[in-house]
Amino acid sequence: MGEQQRVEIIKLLYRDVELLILDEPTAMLTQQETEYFFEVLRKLRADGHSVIIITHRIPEIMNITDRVTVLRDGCNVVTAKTSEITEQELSQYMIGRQLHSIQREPIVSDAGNEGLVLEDVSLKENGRERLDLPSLRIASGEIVCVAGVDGNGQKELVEVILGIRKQSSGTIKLDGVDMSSLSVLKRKKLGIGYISDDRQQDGLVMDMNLTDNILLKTHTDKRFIKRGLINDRLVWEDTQKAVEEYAIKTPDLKTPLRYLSGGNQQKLILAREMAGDPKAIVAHQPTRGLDIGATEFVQQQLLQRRAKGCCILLISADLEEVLLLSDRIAVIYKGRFMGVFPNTKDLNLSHMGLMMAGRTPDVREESL
Amino acid sequence: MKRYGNFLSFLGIAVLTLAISILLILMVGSNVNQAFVSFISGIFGSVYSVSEVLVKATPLILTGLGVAVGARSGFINIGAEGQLYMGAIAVTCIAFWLHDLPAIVMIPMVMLGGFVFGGVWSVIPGFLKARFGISEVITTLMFNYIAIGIVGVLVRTVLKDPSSSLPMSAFLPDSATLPVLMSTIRLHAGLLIALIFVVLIWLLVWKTPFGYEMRAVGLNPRACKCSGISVYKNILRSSMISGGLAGIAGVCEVSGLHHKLLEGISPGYGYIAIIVALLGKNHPVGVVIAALGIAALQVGSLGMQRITGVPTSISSIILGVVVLLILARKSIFRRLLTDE
Repeated sequence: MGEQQRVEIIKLLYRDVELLILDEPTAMLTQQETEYFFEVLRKLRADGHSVIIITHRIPEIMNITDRVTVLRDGCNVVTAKTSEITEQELSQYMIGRQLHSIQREPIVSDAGNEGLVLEDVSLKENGRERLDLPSLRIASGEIVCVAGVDGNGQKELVEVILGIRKQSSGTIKLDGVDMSSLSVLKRKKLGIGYISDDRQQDGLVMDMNLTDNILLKTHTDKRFIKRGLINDRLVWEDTQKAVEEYAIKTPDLKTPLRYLSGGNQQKLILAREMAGDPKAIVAHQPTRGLDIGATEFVQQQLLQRRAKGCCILLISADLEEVLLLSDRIAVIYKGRFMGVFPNTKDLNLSHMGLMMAGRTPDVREESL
Repeated sequence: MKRYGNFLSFLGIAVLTLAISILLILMVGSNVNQAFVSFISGIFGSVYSVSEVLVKATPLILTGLGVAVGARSGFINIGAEGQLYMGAIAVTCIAFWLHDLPAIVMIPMVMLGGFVFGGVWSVIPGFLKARFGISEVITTLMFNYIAIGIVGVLVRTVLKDPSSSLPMSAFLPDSATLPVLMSTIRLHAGLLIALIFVVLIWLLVWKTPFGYEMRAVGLNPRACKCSGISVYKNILRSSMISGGLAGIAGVCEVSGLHHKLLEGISPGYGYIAIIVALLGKNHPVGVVIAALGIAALQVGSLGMQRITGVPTSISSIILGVVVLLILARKSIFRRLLTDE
C-alpha cells in the first residue's frame, strides 16, 4: 500500500505540476516515509510550487503547512496562519467542541465472564509460519493491546480469533467455551464483536444501504424473521435506533454506505458489532483514517464496553492510542509476542520500541 | 435536472433506436409508414398475435429470471440455453419413463425433473467457480454445446420416434402436456408457471435471509466471509436456482408448445435471456417487462416481414442497438445525468 502511494506521488511530481492537491497523502506511509515525503514538499515549496494538503492529522498540519483552513460539515469554519494557531484551538475547530480528556478507570471486576483465552495458537500458511503465540488470557473488563509494526501477524491473529482463518494448532476459548472449530457466524453468536482494519472490504457492503449492512450480522436473527421472511419494519426500527444512538449522519436509511463519510461508516460497524452486549470485542485499528471527533467517539465506546465487563483485544499501530486505552500491552513481531507487560506510568518506551523492531532489550544490553 | 435527465436519456435512446430502424427499413427499400403499421398490427392485430407474444415471452421470463438470480450473487450465467435443453431432456425422459402417471402427479414431476437437470447443468460450473475459481462465463458457455449435442444424440437414438424418419421424439403422453389456455391459440399454462416463479423469486431474493446472503455475496464476497456468510454455499445455491429456472423453461417449451423433443426447440432463448436480465436490471419485475418487450419486437417484426418484406433480422439488429445504447447511456447522456 505504502509503495503504491509513493508511486502515485512520484508520478505527480514527475509531471512538474504547478499546484499539487494531496488528499490524505500520508495515510499509508510510515513515520520515516512521511518525514521524507515532507522534505520533498518543502523543496517544492522553495521552488515556488503551491501545495494543498488535506489531512486530519494535527501534528502534520503544524509540521508542514503555512496556512490552514478548517472545514466542518461542508462549511468553512476558520482560516488562519499556522503559526498563529495552537493544536488545541485547531482540534476544537475541527470537532466543534472541546475534546474530552479520556480517563481510564481501574479494572472493574473479573466476574463478568471467564474471558477470551488463546492457548498456544499457531498458524502456518504455505509452509510459512505466520503466528506462534504463547497462551494469553484477556480478562473480563480488560483491554489488551497488541502493538507492533503493521504486517507482523496482527491481521492473522484477529482472523484466527474470528475463525476467518483456521489456526494450525492451539485452542481459542470464550467464556469457557472452546470455539476453535466453530464457524465465524457461531463465534459471533457466542458474543464476539469484530471491527476490521479494512472497513470497506471486510466490514461493509458499500453498495448496500444502512439497514442491509446492519443485516450482515443479524439476517439470521430470529427476532427479524416472521414466517421465514425478513420483516422490513423491524429491521428498519433496529437500524433507526442504531443511527440515533451512535449519531450516524446520513440523509436516510436507504443511502448506500458508499456515500457516508469514513467516520459514519465506522460508527455503523460499531453499532452493529456492539449490539447485543458482546462478551469480547476484537478491534483491529478501529480509529485508522478517522478524524479526531470520530476517533474519540470510538475510543470512548471501547472504554464503555470495558466498564461493562467486555474483554477487548485492541490492535493499533498508534502508540498514543495504545498507551491511552490498554491495561496490558503485548508487543508482536513476526507473529510472536516479544513480551506482555502491564501499561503503567513507568513503562519503558524505548524498550517497547526495540521489541517492536524484533530485539529483546536484554540482548541489546549484552551486545553493548 | 437529474430527475428529468434520467427520463430524457431513455427518451433519447427511444428516438435514436427509432431513427436507426427507419434507416434500416429505407435501406431495404420498403415504405416506412407501411412497415410500422404492419409491425404494430403484427403485435396487437389479433388475439392470436398477442398470444404469440406471450408464448415467446414465457421461456424468456423463466430463463431471464434464472440469469438475473445468478447475477445477483455474482454468477454470470451464459449457459441458460444449455440448461433449457437439459430441462427439455428431463421432461421427455420422465414423461416416457413414468407414462402411466396421472397429470396431477406427472406435471409436478416433470417440473421438478427439469429444475434438477437444469440446476445440475449450472451447479457444475458454479462448483468449479466457487471451489477452483474457474470462470463460469467460459464453462457455462461450453456446457451449452454439450447439452445441445446430447439432445442431438438422444433424438437420433434412444428417444427417436420409430415411426418417423426425422430426428425427433414421439409425442409426449397427454398427462405430461400443459393445458392450452384458449382452444384456438398456442398459449399454454407455462405462462402462469413463469409468473408464479416471478413472485417466488422476488420473495426469495428480497425477503428471505437466503436471498439477502446471495445479494451480499454478489456485492462483496470478502465482507461476507468476514461475517460468516459462506460464499461457496451461496454460489452453489444461486447457480442451482439459476439453472433450474432455465430448466423449467425447457420443460414448458416441450410440454406446453412442441409436445415432443426435437433439435432447435429454442431459437436462442438462453442467450436473449442475458439481455432480458440486463434490461430488467436483474429484478423479477424488470425481467417480465423486458421479456414482453423483446417478445413483442420479435413477433412484430414477423408481421412486418409478412406484409412488407422487411427481413426479421432487423429485430435482432435493433435489439443489439438498444443494448449498446443502454450500456453506454451514462456516457452518451452525461450532460443530462450530472447535477449541473
